[in-house]
Amino acid sequence: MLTYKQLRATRPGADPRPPSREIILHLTGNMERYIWGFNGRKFSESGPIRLRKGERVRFTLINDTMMEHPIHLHGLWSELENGQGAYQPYKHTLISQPGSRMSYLVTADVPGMWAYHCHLMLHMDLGMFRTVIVE
Amino acid sequence: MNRAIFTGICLLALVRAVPAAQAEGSGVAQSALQSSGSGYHAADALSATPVVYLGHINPVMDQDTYFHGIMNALEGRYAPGGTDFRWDGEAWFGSDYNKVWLKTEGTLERGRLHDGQHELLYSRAISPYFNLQGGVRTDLDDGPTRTWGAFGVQGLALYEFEVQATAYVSDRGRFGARVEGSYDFLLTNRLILQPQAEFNLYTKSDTGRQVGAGLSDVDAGLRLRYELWRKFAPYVAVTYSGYLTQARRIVRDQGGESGTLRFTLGIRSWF
Repeated sequence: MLTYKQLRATRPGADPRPPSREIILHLTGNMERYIWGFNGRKFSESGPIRLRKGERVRFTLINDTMMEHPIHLHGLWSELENGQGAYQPYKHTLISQPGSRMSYLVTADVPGMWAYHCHLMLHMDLGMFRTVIVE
Repeated sequence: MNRAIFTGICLLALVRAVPAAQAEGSGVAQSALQSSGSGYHAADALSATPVVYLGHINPVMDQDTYFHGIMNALEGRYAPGGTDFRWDGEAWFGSDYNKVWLKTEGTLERGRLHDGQHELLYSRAISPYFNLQGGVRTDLDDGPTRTWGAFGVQGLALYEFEVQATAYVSDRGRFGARVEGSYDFLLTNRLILQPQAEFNLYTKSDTGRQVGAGLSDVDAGLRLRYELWRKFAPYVAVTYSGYLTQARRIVRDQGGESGTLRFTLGIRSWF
């Protein structure tokens, strides 16, 4: 079976800096009411995630639900911390496994408002969405 | 009538606003912290300055309203003397946290409608799995009509038991309560065995409606359904409908049946 551990970039990453801070997000949902979100809140009950231009940040996802969520950050690369050192893979969308913890690094090198969401549209549309603002 | 409705409204006013009703992780939400600086706060906390989107259109519409209706039971209860028909259904309209809820049930027995109970309730999410509900109930069938103010809880209890418990106060100053529960055993994903029971309690007897003080009546069933589609499931069942304690004597005095166990066929459907 292939796992995320085996993914390895063909060349070293462009930004060797360590992250200056960590953003922890729990992936949460309620199957009985069919509400989805991060940190126990829907999109409409939350604010944007603000990043400073050029800053390097660690995103840590803790999946509290019982299913996979493919998390997609638009506009910026997600560098999966899978133990490949300088050869960490660059990804658009990362699949968070149920009950798991996963982290990845992001360099906020493109200013703007970026969509950040679960790529299961039925989760995204019901609240598993955030705006990431690079300013 | 007015007093009953007023009581319901007063109780509703006590309902505390609960912002997030997401089950998994609602407890840990407070610990989902951004580890920088001296203070801690969630990176996606609601901000004082809301984001303005192009055309003022939010990227996702997660505050929609929905409509759902389910007929939990629509069944014929067979007996040599004549088959009874019973329905038990509910429908709601609203958002994730606030809904208007309609519940209705009744039994047609030898051309006479009885046990017709209909409720119109406001429903407020108070926890990941429970709603507080308040409104009015009317007993509308071929017997005398009664009106009640209603207040109770409905939800999914631990181990996935569906439960409802409602208290009532009538236009004549009487009190009642109804407790209902059911459980789904998934024998397969489509073949489901559901025990279900409903109990009614009253503080005073009401012979016109075959109601006795105390535990008055029970309606229960063991239903085995097959979900041909998720929304359409025929079932076979054994159902029991009976009067208890004082109501049992009232019904016997009136020459009625105090309790019957019946073979039942029905359909469960929702949309």
